[in-house]
Amino acid sequence: MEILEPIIVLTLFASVCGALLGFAAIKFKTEGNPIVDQINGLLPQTQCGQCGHPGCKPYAEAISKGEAINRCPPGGEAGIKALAELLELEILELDESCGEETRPRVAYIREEECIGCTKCIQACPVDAIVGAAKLMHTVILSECTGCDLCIPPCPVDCIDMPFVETTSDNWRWAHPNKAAPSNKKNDSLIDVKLVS
Amino acid sequence: MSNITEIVKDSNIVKFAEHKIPGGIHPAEFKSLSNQQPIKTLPLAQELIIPLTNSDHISGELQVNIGDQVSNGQLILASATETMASNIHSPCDGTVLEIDKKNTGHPSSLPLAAILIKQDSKTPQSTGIKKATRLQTNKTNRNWISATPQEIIERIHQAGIVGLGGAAFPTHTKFQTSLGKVNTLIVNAMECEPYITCDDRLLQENSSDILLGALITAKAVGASKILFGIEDNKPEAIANLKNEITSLIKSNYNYDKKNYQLPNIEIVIAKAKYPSGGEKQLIQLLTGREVPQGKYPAELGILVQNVATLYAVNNAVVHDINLTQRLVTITGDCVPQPGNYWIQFGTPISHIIDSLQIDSGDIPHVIFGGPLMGVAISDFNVPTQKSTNCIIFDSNEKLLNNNQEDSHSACIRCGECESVCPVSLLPQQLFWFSQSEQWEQLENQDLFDCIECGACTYVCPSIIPLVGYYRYAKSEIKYLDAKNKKSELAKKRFENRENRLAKIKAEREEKRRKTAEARKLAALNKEQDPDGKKSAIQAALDRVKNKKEQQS
Amino acid sequence: MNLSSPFIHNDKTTSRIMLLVCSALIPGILVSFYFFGWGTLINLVVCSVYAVSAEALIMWLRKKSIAKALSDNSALLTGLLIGLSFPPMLPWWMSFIGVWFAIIIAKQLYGGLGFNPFNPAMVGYVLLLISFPVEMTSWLPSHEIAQQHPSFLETLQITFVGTTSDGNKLIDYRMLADGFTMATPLDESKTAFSLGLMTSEIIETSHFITNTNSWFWLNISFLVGGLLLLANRVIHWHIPTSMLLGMTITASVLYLYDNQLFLSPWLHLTMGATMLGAFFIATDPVTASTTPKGRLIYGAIIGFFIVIIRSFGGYPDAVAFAVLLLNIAVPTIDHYTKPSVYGSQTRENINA
Repeated sequence: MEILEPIIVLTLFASVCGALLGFAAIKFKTEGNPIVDQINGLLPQTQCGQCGHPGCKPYAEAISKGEAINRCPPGGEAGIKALAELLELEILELDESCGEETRPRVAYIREEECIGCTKCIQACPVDAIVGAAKLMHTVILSECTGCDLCIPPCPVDCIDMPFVETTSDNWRWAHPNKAAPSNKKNDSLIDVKLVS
Repeated sequence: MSNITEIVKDSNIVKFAEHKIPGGIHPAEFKSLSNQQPIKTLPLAQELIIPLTNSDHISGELQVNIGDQVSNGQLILASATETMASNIHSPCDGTVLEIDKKNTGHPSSLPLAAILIKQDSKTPQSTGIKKATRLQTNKTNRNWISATPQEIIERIHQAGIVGLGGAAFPTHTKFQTSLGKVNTLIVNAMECEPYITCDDRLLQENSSDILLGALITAKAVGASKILFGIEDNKPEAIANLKNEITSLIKSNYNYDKKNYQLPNIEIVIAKAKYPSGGEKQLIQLLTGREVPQGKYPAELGILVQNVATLYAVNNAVVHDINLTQRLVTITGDCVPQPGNYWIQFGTPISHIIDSLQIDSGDIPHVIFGGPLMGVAISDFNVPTQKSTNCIIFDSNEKLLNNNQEDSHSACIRCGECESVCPVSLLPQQLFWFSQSEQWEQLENQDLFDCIECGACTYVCPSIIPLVGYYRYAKSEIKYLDAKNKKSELAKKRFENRENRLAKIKAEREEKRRKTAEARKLAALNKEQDPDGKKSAIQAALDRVKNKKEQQS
Repeated sequence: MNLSSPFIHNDKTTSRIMLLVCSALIPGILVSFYFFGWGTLINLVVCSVYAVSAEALIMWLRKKSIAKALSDNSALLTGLLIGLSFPPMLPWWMSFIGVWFAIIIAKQLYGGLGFNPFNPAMVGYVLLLISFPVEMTSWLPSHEIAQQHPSFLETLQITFVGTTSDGNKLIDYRMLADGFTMATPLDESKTAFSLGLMTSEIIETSHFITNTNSWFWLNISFLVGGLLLLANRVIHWHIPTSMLLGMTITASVLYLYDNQLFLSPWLHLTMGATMLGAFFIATDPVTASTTPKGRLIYGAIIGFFIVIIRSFGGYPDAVAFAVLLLNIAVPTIDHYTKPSVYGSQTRENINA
């Protein structure tokens, strides 16, 4: 039975490899799923919910389980590309049903109309609105991520979402081969200047 | 050239450079267009637009309001000493008409804060050229010897002097940080870019002032050696400068020898090559040493200053004149009389066109600066500024067609760009990574060491706008860095908020649980003892027990 | 928004460079025509037409400007280089396959000019060499020793039809006066070595000497073209120098080891496609190393491989294989030969 020898050798070899792998799986096991943190690191942290999940971390977890990577409008094209590179997936077009990629915006409360109800303060996911009950509310512009979540709760509809103005400080050189989308002057209600 | 060899031969203060810089190009110079005529003064414009800042905020305090009368040299903007900003002075006698945002030539074409002053044509303006200072005889020009370095630096700060070689960095800040660290002053008289000749003419006509400025600077920072770096295409300037230095040394410059030591002064001549006049390149050329990445020349004990800056230093320290004008080369084939002109800051291009009868009807833009590192300005209301050393009015196709087609040819990896890069970068790799937006690779390839000199773009056979790609990549990387920081912060705030809400919820839960338990306990008690008699009896029995224990 | 500096440019453009390289091939083309007849010129014309048509077709499919792509002369140059490496009177359909494969698969499919990692001319050549080894090694002998010289019409007929109106085939033109069929000197010596002959026996036959003479002049003419390119600063000196040095050193080592089993360095340098390879093929900027030190290494190793494959490999000439092998190594070579950037050596070593 000449076939016996190779069978025994290969079986032994396979067992040794299997044992090594099993040992490694136990000894080098990592807590949690590091890929979720890596994915979350690439998301813009706007916590806006446009992807259908209540925040960026839940969306990161969903992506790690196989959800499409093109559901984040604030992350935009660059975000999809980064995710595709990390996860070795195909680069997709942004899913239009989640929203569209726009220039950065911030919230701006028209203080004359604010009634001090604190509903927007409770809605803001990054605590960027300062104020208290029956007192003036205002948005800390440098902390606002433009997620829009404060707009629906406001009972007097006194919050605007103007575009961040392009100034000589945040201006960027255009790509030599095409007009850069970020440099186009867009129409807006009020152009708000970000003071850094 | 034989002229120069003779100068070098019988002199021990003039010598040829012993080192070289890598790469470099030799474009056509076009210097004879404007360096054959003596310096003139441009008549003052009717309205001057003085920029107050180069960014979105003003670093300093405005000293005037709309409607104020101002005089030539009066302080308009006072900058704090610690900031990287300079004082700004009125360039003429007149009235402040507007303080508003105007297009002042920023690459973005966005308007920036500026002051509009209407010239007061009734009284004679004080804008004439100063006569060259004679070093030996004039007593006033020796006061600086007894001044302390700090006093000199303060005077330079007051006068609003910035680096006039092009970068316009506040000179007093540079001196302050160099104080005590620097032993060599390198004077940048290279002027390596085509078309520009203002430094050349200034040296030909005012060497003594520049030399004095160098001595004052050396005193201010504590330098004991002065090296004049100059290209070999300026023989007259070299001869003039050499004579001034020789007579300075010979005259034994009657100073109080106890308090003052004349620095060791030398002229070093280098072969004309672009961009030998860059600060880091000049240091490598004259001393063979390289400024470490991310550090400044003060690390090597060197300070580099442009000749025009030194001229301004002399004006400020010896003659008490604030910086309100500079020498500008006006050149190009549209100019009937190309040459160098003293022009007050804030002079709009349109005034220069009118004064010199420049035929600018057909050209879409002029170039502020040189053809390799300058800025194309299409709005002719833009004024000259402290950094404007040259304006080119030229109808040449080459200068107008600046490689900004919709799509250029592919890179054939010929390596020409790499062979001319003065910083020894790999421009072709920088281009490939910029094109494919691989930002980390770009930082590995030292993108931020690129001085944007344009030599690579000059030689590229596929006419790729390389420097345009690098500028795009640099601003994208900066933008992405800022964006990342912002999302990191947003993430932290979000997590803090989540934790806070969870904590509040947990506390509420805990409270609810405790209340529920207490209620349960009370209900249980009521069951066993409906009218409270049992517990009263128990309480009485406990009291008796306690009393007994106390007595025993 | 303002436009970016710089605003001036020198006169060198890609199309001018490619045209200069094409012109530098002229000495070699003329000498080849003298020794090998009309076949050379017909090959060149045919391959150039194929190359330009392939490029035009792909540009049309990619919806890009055909005129712009053709005006950079790169397709023309590829056509000429392949044409020169094919034996005269190669059947027209083989040239077609080779050239269209080179342009479409090896160049355009990767993204067009500048994006291909492999030298397209060599890819086309190697494809044909491996697929049709007999025809690709059927070179004509020098006209000085050939029995029959094909006329222009006969050359056309063999290339496009396969036989002449008199019934002659390619093999008839490869015959010498005494009935031997002749190949290139490298091919002959390889066959002779495999038969156990010694070097001294091979190189002293009169046929060999006459044949080597013609290849010698062919190589000299390409050398002249190459020197013209160097003088006009179209190519850098690094690759030709290091490649020829690499070949010399490797061949010398082998020759010193046993001068009866290996050809002399002189023969290696003057036979085959050495000079064409050194100045025109290995210097192709798109596929060669881009750093100065890298170019030296790239050229040296190509030279080494050429001699090794010629001496120990199965094919008589090895320029194409050596170049393709090193094309793969270019990214690594570039990575490890980066020049040191201004100010980097004085930087303190921060723990990376």
